[in-house]
Amino acid sequence: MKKPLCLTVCLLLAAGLAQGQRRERIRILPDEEKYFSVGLQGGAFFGQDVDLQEIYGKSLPFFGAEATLRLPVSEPHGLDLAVGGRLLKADGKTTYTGEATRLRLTNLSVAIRYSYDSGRFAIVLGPGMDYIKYQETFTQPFPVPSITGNTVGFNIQGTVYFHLTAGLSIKGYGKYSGASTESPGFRVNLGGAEWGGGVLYRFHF
Amino acid sequence: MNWKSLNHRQRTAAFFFILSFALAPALPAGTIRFSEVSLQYQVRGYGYFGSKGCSWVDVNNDGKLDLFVKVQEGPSTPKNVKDILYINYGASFADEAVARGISDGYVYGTHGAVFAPLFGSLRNFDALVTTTYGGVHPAVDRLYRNRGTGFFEDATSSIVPAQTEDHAGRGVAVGDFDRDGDLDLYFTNPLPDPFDSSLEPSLALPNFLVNNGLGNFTAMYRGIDWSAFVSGVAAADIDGDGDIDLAEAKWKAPSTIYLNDGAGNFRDAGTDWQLPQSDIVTEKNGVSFGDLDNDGDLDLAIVGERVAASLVGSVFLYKNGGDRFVFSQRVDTSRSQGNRVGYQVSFGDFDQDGYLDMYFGGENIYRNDGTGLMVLVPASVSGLAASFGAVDPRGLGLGDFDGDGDLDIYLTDTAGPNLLFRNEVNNSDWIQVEIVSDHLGAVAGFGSKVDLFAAGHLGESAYLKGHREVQAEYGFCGQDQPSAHFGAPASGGAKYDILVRFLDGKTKSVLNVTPGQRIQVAAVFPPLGFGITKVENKALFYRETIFELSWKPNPLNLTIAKYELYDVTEGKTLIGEFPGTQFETTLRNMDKTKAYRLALTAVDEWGSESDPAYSTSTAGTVVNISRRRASGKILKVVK
Repeated sequence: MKKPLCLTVCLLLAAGLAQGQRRERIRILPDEEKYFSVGLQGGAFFGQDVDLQEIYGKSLPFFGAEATLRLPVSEPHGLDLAVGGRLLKADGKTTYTGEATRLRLTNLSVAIRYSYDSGRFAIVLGPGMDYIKYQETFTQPFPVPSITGNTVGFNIQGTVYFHLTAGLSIKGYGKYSGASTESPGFRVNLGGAEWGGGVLYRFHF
Repeated sequence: MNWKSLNHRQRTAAFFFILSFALAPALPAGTIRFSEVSLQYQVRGYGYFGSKGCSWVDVNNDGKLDLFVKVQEGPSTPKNVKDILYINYGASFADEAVARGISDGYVYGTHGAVFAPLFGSLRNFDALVTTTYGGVHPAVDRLYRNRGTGFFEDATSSIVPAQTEDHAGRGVAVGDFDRDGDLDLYFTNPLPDPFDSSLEPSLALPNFLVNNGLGNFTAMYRGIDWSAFVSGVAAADIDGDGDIDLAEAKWKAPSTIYLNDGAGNFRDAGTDWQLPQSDIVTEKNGVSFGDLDNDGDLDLAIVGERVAASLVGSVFLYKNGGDRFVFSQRVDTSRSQGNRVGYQVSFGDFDQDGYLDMYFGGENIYRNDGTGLMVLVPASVSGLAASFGAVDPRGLGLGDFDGDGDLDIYLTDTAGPNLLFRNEVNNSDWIQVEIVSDHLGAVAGFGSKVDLFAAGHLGESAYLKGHREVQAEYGFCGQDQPSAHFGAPASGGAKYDILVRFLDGKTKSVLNVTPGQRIQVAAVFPPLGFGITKVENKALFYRETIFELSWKPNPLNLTIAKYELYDVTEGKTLIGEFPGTQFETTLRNMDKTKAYRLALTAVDEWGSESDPAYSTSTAGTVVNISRRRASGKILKVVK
């Protein structure tokens, strides 16, 4: 998994640098600039659920991808529409018997965010919705082989982009999400904080 | 012990012991043949005599029957006579009563003494030894606690309050008379001079030592009046109602039976049971029980002497009719005038043909004809000519001292040497049942009933081949080996089923037993400390409720083959079986919202199952233990 990811990141970086060379300068704040970006991201999820923390640990790494469409409103202000996905996998042990378990959380999120883009950097802030698909698998002699399900939640996130070239940016972001599932007799909180970074390539219209 | 450690006499005895086995062919079935071997085994008692009775019992737990001889000072014996404890060393016996702390040196000696598990673990034979008051105060009965090695310590202080009256005891009896889970004691003549003609004919004297369960005994009156000199006493379930009754042989008063109301209170039922109330035999000395007709109840023998112009000893046999005794036979001594005889008979299947025969102490053997009728076996056939040489025979005991499966006889003689008769039948037509742990966890299982059936017909009275009740002292101060001996002919490949009924009514069976074996039987007790710990085992999206079950082995159990776990919440469902060495298990994926009731039983090698130990879990609550388990255990998933 790491090799394709690195390869993709390298390709994005090379493509961005190449476009920067071709346009000769970074367009800092073009009027009515609209752009579409795609990128890869990774980070760590800090779940709130104490059982999640006990079973899988307090920070869980993930990777994902994001696509955004920036619509300028009154430069440097604009609207940012984002669609993203995240895959989290973690290995853990049941609390009493210590039997191996594996967690797989797949998030799909959409967001409408306020965007401030200075041309050199951009700040994006806003709410979103999450669709979370979860799967937990167990080993014998745990009484069930796996549990699967899905739920929806909300999130609010803020991102800072640094434009390296006209086509290439890196970002750092923080996100707080709230989501839970109800099982007979107990509730699982899938919300928590998420910190991460990424690289993205922009297509200008 | 090795050959070099033996002295000359012991070597000679060992030589004869080995030689006798080497040269002894098996006698034809139905043959009764004894050899007198008291000199060979060095068990003749004191040279000045004075023996009154005996007890066959393995005091040192070495698997061999030892022999306690009750000795009293007599006209020609010195005072301060000590009792004898012959330790069985296989080839010979050695008196170690003094060294082992049970010589009981009351100046006028001992008559009755009984060995039974009274203290502590109940795995050893402790003793009550009566005293025979002879003018020296105090004359108190003594309790001895066996330390487990055949060495004793005086535990008379366990009688609370301490005895103040002098006693002139004869027979003693033991049993859980009040059925409260411990062995009580009964002793005769709790007064200094039982021959005092000025005494009231009916005295309510405290003649029971009632066990409080902690090894302390309190003298109590429980309904048996002292009405005359009591000689022998026997304890047995006479009326078949499951509790232990008593019978007494008396002088100058009717010998009688006392029926137990189940709580340890007795009433004289001699008249109701149609025992003779006229003074047929003036001095009745012994009372013995045995199922002579293999009908599952205990028949009665009363032995005594007619003190008239001629001294004639007689045995009166009564068949048990369920609610009465029916006189069946009288056997008179064949001795010449002047030799006293008439103290005790013992029933044993000497020829191992399946029916109890009778040995009349100091007389001869009588063979059971299969209906309970006793037929004389001439001394020329039985080899018991020496029995007629006993000068004043008293108590006797039956025991397989040489471990060859048949019953041997030890006869005490207060005016001559004691006699040991070795049974030479030497075949495999026998089964011995030894209760190593009864419903109290006690060795011997006094009061337990042991029935022998033809294999495949357990419990069918038509196939009953023998009925025994494990008794302690009986007759006149005699105590047999504390196990049940059956003649069990092996011809045709016959096999047998054994049914043991403990005093609490619970039974245990051993099936398909081939003759020629000693079967050890133990009651099975439920495990201790059976408990449930309810634990939640968490994954993120699944909460599993786990029952951690644990228990402890019951120390009263000897060998446990397995434990069986049942869900008895609704009905009874076997959940699992676990080896006898496992004391915990885990039940997984239990319903947290449900209240469970679980039962755990112990099962022995014969398949006998104990009463269950129960444990209950309440609904809802969960003890949340976050620790992870250090090691894997057998896990059982309940679907």
